[in-house]
Amino acid sequence: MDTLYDVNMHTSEKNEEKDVSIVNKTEVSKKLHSSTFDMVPVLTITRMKKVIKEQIREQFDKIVK
Amino acid sequence: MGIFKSAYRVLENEIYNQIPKAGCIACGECCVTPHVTLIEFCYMMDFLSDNPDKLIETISKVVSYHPDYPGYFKCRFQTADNFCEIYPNRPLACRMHGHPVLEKMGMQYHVYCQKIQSVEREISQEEVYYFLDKTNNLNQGYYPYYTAPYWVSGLNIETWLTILFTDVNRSFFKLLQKIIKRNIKVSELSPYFIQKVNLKEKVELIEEFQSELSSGNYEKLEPLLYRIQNDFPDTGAYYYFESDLYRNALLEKRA
Repeated sequence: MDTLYDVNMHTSEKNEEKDVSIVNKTEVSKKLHSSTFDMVPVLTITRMKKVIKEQIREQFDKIVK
Repeated sequence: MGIFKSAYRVLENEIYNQIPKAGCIACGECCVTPHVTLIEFCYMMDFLSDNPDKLIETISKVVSYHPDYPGYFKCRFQTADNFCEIYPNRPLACRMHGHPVLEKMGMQYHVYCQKIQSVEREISQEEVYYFLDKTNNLNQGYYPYYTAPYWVSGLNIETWLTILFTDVNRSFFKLLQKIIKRNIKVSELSPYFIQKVNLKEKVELIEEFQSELSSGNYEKLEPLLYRIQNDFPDTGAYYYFESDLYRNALLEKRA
């Protein structure tokens, strides 16, 4: 089965820094979503950030000016 | 026969059984409702499927809020003496609890349980991603996995139960409900589930956000994102980080 992930994301030092920053930024604003028990959504979004951003970009591109 | 039978074998053999055990002493203080994928949720519930009385008891439980996680419920599978009702079928998140690698990955809070003496073997970040990817990939073939507008990947147990036993009245969530019902025997159990979370209200807000986004009404989006993130803590992390990405996209658009 093909993966939706950017499988090389975590091996790239630059991207790894970005991945951690998204979690840390949220921790600053709210403690709520930062426990082991949230690991599936927390880590999944760092893995799928590229896919999600692309879909969001497509949504914005469709907006009628 | 459930459609997830082969997926359960992958969960057991290639994921769960590969995770080293942590020396949990069952103090029960950390057991907040975990976020799990669809197949994991069915696997957890499947453990009780041959014990209808226990299943009803678990479903009908009214659980209290966890003191350390505002708005989050305690885990409904936690027993009165702090053990896990479904321990052999517990999900990835619970199996990872106590492993030091998670702190390096940005999840500081409660990761270092002070009562866990040691872990069987320390695991690497790459291994964590392997377990996560494998678990998520298992789910991808069964529903529109992690796509707009709803972005469903892992949900907490209370949210899955709400999807299963209430009418969220959206085709996407009806599909999820149908899949779950094909895998676990829960017919006629919905009257026993009384502690639903505010998923329907959150979904309505998400749809309002998506509608305003489609119309290009940018000034209305930020307040909606704020409410999506903050008004429904019982639904856990659902749409929380996705809201952040939308917010970032909005900022880029304005720049």
